[in-house]
Amino acid sequence: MDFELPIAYNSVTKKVELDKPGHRDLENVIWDDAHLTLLETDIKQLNELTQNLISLNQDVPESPMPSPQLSIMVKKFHANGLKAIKEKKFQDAVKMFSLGLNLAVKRNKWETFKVTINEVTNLLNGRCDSYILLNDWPRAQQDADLLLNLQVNTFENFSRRSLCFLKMGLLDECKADLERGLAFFPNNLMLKNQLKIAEAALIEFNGDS
Amino acid sequence: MSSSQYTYDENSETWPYFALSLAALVVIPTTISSIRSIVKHNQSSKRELQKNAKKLDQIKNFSKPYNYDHLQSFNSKFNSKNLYFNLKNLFNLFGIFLIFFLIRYINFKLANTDSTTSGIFDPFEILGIDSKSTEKQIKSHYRKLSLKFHPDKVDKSNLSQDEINKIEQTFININNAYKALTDDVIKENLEKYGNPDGIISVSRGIALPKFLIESQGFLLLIFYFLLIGFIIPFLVTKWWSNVKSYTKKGIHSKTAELFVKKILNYEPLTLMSPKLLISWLSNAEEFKIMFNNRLAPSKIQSLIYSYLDRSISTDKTDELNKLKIVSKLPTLLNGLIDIGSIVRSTDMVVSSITILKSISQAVPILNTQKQQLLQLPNVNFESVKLSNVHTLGKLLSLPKDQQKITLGISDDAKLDSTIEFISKEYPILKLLKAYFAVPGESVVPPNASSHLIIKVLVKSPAHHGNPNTQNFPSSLLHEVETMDSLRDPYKSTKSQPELPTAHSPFFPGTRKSNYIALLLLQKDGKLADPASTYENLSLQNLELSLDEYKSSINALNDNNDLDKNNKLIVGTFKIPLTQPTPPKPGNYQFRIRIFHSDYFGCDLDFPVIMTVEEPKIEEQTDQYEIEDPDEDSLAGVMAQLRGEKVKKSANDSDSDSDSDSDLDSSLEEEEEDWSDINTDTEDEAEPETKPVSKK
Repeated sequence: MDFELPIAYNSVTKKVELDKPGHRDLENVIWDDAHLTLLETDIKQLNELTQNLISLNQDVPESPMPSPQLSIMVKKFHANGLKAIKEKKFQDAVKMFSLGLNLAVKRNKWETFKVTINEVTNLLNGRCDSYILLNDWPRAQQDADLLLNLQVNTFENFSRRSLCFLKMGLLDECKADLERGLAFFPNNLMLKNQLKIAEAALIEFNGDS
Repeated sequence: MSSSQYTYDENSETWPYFALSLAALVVIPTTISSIRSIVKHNQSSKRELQKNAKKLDQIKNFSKPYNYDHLQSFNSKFNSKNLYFNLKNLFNLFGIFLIFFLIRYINFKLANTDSTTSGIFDPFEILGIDSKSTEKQIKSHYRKLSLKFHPDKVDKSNLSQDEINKIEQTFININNAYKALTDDVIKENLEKYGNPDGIISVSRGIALPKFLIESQGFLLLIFYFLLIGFIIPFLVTKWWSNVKSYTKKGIHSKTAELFVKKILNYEPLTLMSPKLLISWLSNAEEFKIMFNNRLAPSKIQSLIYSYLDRSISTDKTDELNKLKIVSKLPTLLNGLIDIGSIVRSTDMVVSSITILKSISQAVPILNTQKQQLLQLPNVNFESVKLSNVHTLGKLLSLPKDQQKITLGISDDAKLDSTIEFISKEYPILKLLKAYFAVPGESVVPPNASSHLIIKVLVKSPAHHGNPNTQNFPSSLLHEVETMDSLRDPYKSTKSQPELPTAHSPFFPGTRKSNYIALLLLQKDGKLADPASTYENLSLQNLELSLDEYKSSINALNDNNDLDKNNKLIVGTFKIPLTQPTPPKPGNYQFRIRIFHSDYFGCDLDFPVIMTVEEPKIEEQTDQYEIEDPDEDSLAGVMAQLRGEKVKKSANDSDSDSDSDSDLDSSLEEEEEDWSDINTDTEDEAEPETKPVSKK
């Protein structure tokens, strides 16, 4: 069976692109939206991988080990961010951590994932705290969300996100987060104290005093 | 005499019986069911009326729903189901007439047939003598009768032919009866078979009139041919395609396929938000069928949003379509919840429930918690959005002028009735206790089928103050195990009153409210079990005044005079776990979320721990074993001297178990072990030894 993907190579941008006008005309295959979005993701990944390989100037990558130069740079950004926090320049800290994050996720796609996760969580920790110190709760909550998805086994992440929820007035979510945190760390005093605060706030919120 | 051949009902004697039983088989159940539905409807509407008697006053004060006219026209078009004059009842009526007619016909037939040819033959009765009479008496009596009834002896001059026949028949009967009592053979037949002629021939036949089978056999053949060749296959395929095209939850199989496809292809990083689900819903097959593909999904989506925003368009067909779409959504959402349960996606189920509530209340989907106030009657959306009050409880704790500002109601009477309505309508749940239980076990053993018992307190938003569950009498918080509850643990929850219909003035049709319970694993935040729904919970607490509530809470906390002072009713949910408890002992963390299907702010969310333990080992001791002698008996002393075990005297063990001094316990170690076994195996064992075993 002849099967043709609705994609085309764009010689100007040197990338594979979704051939938009073509994909509806195919007789055999009907590309519905769900499949098209999947295909778009695939194309994006393919382009990135190719770009990585081209910029390497080698036929075959040497090793799947993460490049040490990048690690050093990421660490530098992290250290600078921490320094900025200490100097109470939180905006600068956010900038540093964001730059570091951009670097960390731009590793070549064949390198091992473990190091990336580590670096990303470290940087996210810093950025999330900076946002908290800046009282930018929605952004802090987004970072805390990511952190909780990346590593559940740290109580700080529960504490971070619940604090954001508390400050944004989403008290039910705040309480649920703390309770989940306490499910993993039943004796954690920080979470317990926060839960007490959240429960007191809930009583006020519901007019239940 | 007995014929093995089946005969048709040539004399049309038996077919009415056949037809009667057939008709009765169909008509009686259907009639009962329709009568029951009518009665039930009347009862429930009466109950609703009673319940709403108070509400009606307030509702008079409520502003009409913005889409009132369209709702009316929609309801008259699609929801006008007449309970009394419908096709089913017409059919029932016809069936009843048929049965009536058949009974009359059979009666008529029976009256016409000769009573003497049928019926039981009793010679004593025919002769008119006592059954204990001797042979001599019989003979003399027979002679008298034969003289009287002999056809030659009767004067026939002024008798009709009928009467003559009757007399002749009587004489024959008398003769037969006499013979039966005197002739040995006939007497024996009578005794054995109850008939002077010996075995009564039993004829089996087909209760169909002969003309139907033989005279018009050709027609029948055509009928059979049509039936087997066309009608039955047609009906079966239609039935099957209907069964196949709709899932158990009532959504079209293509819609279900669509949802599953969307889930499989969905990117893990995007949020399963209500908005995403609405875009899925608008692609449902049901809407394609409903509008013959004439409405694009984007149009359907915009109609759904305009319903939620309570905006109204000038186009009448648009409004009607909107209501048609909205009335279909709860079914689709239930399907989504079902599918979400299977893939264990918490977000999907929670988002579906949010949409369900929004649809019921015609409230926009927001990230803030304003829905609690937006769902109320008479409110002004703008002023609610501006205020910093979010919850019903907070609203009811405010002074009146602030309530006015918050809700945007300027009229005093309107405000009063709205506040009154809020305090009686929205049940707030407070958790009292939640624990896992396995019927017949004191702990939760591994690999057992368990259920979660949740004790809740229903309170009105006007009831301020929370119960202190630590001081609550445990009789209210624990389920007592009886034989009944062992047989069906969920019976006690079903005996609670049914939830009333929800106040959903904008929704086309009525919404039967219920609770949807989710059991999540804290480990990964996913569903541990499919979502389950509950329709029974007593809302009687809502009727209590604030003072009554407070005094009841105080009575419960202080545990005094419960019967007199406590007016609160504790509600129960029991969530069955489809999976067995974990195989290893330990603590397992769950999060329970209970959602009201229609109202915002009436949910419950709390963590609960399942502690799985190995049950205490119960050693089986031989029931018929000779018991060890008592300590203070002579045999006991002898046994002690020999170094054998003895049963402790009752008084001793009592003091022992109380004073657990180190010296004692070290000395009595062996004794304790023993008493442990003793108490666990025999229920009727002395209660005095029990405290030792309890640790």
